Amino acid sequence: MGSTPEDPCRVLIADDEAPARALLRELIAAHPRLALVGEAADGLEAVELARDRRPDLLFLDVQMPGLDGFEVLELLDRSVGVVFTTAYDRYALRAFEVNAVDYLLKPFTEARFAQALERAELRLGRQRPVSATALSTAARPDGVYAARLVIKDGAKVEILPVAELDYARAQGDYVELVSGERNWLKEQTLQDLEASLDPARFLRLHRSYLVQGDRLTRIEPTSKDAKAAVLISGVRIPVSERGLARLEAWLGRAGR
Amino acid sequence: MHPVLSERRALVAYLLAWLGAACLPAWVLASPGDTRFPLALAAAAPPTLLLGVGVLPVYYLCRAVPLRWPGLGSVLRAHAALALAGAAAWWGLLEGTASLLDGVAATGLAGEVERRWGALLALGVALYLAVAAFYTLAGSVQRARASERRAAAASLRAREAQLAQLKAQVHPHFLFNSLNAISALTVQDPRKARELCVQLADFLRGSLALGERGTVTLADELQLARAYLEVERIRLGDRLAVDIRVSPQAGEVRIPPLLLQPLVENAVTHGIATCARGGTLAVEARTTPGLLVVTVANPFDPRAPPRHGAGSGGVGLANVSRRIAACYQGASLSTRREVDRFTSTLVLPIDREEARDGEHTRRPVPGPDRR
Repeated sequence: MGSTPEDPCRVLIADDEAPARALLRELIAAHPRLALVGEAADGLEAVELARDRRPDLLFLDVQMPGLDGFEVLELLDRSVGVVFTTAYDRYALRAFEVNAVDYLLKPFTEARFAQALERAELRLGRQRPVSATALSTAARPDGVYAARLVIKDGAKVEILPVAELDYARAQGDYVELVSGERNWLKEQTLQDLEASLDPARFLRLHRSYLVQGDRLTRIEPTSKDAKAAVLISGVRIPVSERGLARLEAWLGRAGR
Repeated sequence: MHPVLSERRALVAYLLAWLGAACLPAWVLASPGDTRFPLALAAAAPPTLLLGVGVLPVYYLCRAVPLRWPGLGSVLRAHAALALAGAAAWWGLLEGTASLLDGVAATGLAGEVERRWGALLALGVALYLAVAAFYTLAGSVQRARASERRAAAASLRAREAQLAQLKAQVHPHFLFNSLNAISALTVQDPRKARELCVQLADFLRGSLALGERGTVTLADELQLARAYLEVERIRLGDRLAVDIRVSPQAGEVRIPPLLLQPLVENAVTHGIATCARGGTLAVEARTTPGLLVVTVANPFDPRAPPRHGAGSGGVGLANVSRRIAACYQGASLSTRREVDRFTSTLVLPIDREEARDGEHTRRPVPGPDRR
């Protein structure tokens, strides 16, 4: 992506506090190589503007209405550079420190802003080293799991409470999320999704399938060696040998 | 805890004491100078030791029904019946061991046991009563200690809740965001930056001053809330509208300091700040006979992302609940969550001398916050 004078770096701001946006606007305006392409006051607007204005770099607040910073990150193209901005949120800070994503701690100096910018320019156009899910998993207190999933569904953002997810299925670089009659594709690995969900509720029954435990009704043999799990909805999910072992361990834990 | 059975040494001392007590019936049967005295002691020792073991459970009776005026008669009757039964059994055993000895040495002790039955029964009753008196005393000492421990634990809990409250007073997230806003305004609007500095200082000073006092008026507490909301208004802009309504009587009621502040902060952080369009934070305070009722209501976005950071929801409210439980009797904090609206209601009893209308009934209000 361009960072030459003719082709300035396109920057987007997402922060719900007007003074915080104004500060970034001022710092960006003072920088010749930066062009501000938009300002979002909440997470949903940030996703929308990122889609329409194609920024190279996004200054992203963590706590915002609609979607938080980590959820916004999940819905962005992986090529967009991101600098998180936050005042104080020890879990978010933990995530940044562990995962080497650049961040600005509010309030910050002009020098610190310039430094973040330099680092971001070096990374522009490259893929982020860690997945957004890994980052937001690290930003939750220990023992706390995702309560909802965010999915980009064409132009709109779908929010799926975890309780409504029946199962997820690996589809190449995507996962297919299924809830009753509805299903979505999300750019995420099944491993990443599994890591963000409560292991007491979700079971990896197969390399390609993650199932919400309370949706299971029974296990049926399908051939001499193969077995399938039948969900309440009637869907049949293949169960691998290791999946069967996990299911037995899970049933033991659940005390059934 | 049984004063004898809980410790091996105590049990040994107790049994030795009963062995010593066997001298008493032996002395009734034969004077110490008499050659028959050692035999009498040998006859008396086993039944007396058995009596000592037999009365061990009396402790539980003494602990379960302490001597108090209502019901004193029935307790005494129970002890009397047990004493007579115990003494009679003991006398019977004594007769048995004496006859056994008579069979060996023809000392005539069995006849002595029968002849002196009155003295021996009286002795048995006296031994029982001595034990019962000891247990009653031990039980009441233990009860006194336990209630002291409970009181100490309760005051510790109240203090801890208070401390947690004071520590949680100013959330770092709020402070750092405010500093960031000041940092932004210094260039764009220096006058407003200065104003924000002053408002932030007012709030910090106010919360320090209030925290040091035993009680404050609701009006003082609301003054602090206004200072806080002024700062938040600069950050959140038009998203935060405030509507505070307080009756004059309610404003004068004295409450523990910083009791309302967590409710107001909660309403902003987990309410207004979650709504992209914002909303109105409404505080209403009024008095009913004997009670102060304060409600804090705010809209919230039910689809807002969960927050894990500083001042997570519920912690502040739980703290308020603990504090009012430590400071009042008959106070309550209730919360109601409608579709997109959250209301917390604080109900506190009013001290008679503090309420304007002296006719209201007085409620006892003990606790560390009341000085």
